[in-house]
Amino acid sequence: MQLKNTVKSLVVMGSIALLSACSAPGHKGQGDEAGADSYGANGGAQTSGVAAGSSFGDETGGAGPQQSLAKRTYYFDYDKSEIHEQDKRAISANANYLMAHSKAKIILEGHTDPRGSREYNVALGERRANAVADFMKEKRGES
Amino acid sequence: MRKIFFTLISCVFAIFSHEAFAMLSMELTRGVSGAIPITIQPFTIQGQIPPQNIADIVSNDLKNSGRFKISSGRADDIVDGAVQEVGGNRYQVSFQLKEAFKAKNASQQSVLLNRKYIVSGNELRSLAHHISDAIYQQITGVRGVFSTRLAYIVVQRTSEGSTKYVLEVADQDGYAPQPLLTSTDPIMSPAWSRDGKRIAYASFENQHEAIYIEEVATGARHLISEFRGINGAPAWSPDGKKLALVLSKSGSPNIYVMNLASRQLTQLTHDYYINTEPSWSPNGRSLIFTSNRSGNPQIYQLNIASGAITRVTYDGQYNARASYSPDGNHITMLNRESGLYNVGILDLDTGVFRVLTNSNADNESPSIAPNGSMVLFGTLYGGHSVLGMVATDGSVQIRLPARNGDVQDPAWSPFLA
Repeated sequence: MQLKNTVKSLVVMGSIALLSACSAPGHKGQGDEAGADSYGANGGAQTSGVAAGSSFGDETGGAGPQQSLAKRTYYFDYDKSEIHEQDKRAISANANYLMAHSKAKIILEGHTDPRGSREYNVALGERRANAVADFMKEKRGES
Repeated sequence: MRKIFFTLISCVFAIFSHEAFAMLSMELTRGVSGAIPITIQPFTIQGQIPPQNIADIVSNDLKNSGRFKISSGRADDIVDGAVQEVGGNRYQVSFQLKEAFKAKNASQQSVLLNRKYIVSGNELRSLAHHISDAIYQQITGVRGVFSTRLAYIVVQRTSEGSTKYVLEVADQDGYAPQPLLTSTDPIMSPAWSRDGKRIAYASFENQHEAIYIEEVATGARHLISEFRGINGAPAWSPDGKKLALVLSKSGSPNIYVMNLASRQLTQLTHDYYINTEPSWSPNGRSLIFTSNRSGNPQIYQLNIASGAITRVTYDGQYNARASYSPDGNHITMLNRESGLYNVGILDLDTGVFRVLTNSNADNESPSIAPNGSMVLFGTLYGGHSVLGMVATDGSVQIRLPARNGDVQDPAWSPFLA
């Protein structure tokens, strides 16, 4: 299945972005943690976002398909990696887009706030990116 | 009156030397009350002036330990010495440590140490630290760490927005920094081998994480682990033959041990929690590690032979990055009780837990000195990540800011030859 190949949950990419955030001086972070982004971060990470396309012929409709697709930052509760209900629609929309556009690729980056143990934060970031990747793979074949 | 003054003293000074550059400067922010007054006489010089001022280095070492007060007047102990050039950039260095206060007659001083050495010009700084170690041990009974080194990561951001990471090693006082790896991608978790000759670390070069071991003297390095997912938190076994590490190739981060000769892997945890930051007990029979199996990060102990896992920490909602003191009686760790991350120390015999850092900033990455007396850690100060040191009884505090950029993720070397 195409989706599995394109969603190479490059969770370690998330670690790169994470560590850049970790090093930010004076960055205290917030209570909630940022989730998967699909835009690149500094530190030399090569990223490519979802290929911009003007045709959404494969969209199944429903309210705001473009808004769903555009929502690419998903937040997680403190020290958690469960996807919020309100993000599932957007993640599904992106999964559908990938299935419809075989050449598109995404990179999932899992983030945490920079405080505390760096190694633990890398693991938590990977867990979050995996959560989104797993959800996307689940959605294949569904509309 | 003097004692009260010394308790409140905060000496801020920058160490400059034209010969040996310091990447980190060292500021004593709190010393013990009742610091031992010691007088370091300038060493007499014969012949060519040596490139290092030994008396100055010894003074700074002893002062920065927080346990000595450098006095030009009354003192309990006196150090004096001589440096004589003997040709070919070689120097004969002699010193004496004398006890002053016992004698009724002020000119009577019992000699505690009397040593003589011949070294080359570029060994003078190391010799000065060796002399500091000898004086420290003679007076306090504890082996000094003035000849040890620190490893840490420097992060520098350019105005164009790019970031440079450098794994660097320096003397314990911040001098003679030596870059081991420079990268545009993050470097994490440096770990010294037991003989201090190699450092293992995780590097994100080439956009994936891998563990390398690098020879400190030559910079030669070997790729150790490059599996899919996380390759992190390397930790050397006490016998130096194995490396504990974290791999997430099973689907989630688990603790493994790699035999360095055969590269054979043994998986030690087999679950879907976050398990990370393994650290060996001094007898090599167990590992402590961070796990969120109870809902939030706490420290657990794994008996390697039996595989049994028991919980170690109960104070606070978050405990991570634990490691044993050299005598195995204490564990230092990162702890969060109410909001802030602090360095704490747990007495394994009594179960008593103490927080050692007491600042308004978050702390990270505690690493204990090989004599068990101080803990090195990362903290925030003045908008930058800096290093700090705190005595294991909380009595001494030192700050080590970098000259430029941010410093983080430090590791204290073992005793070096």
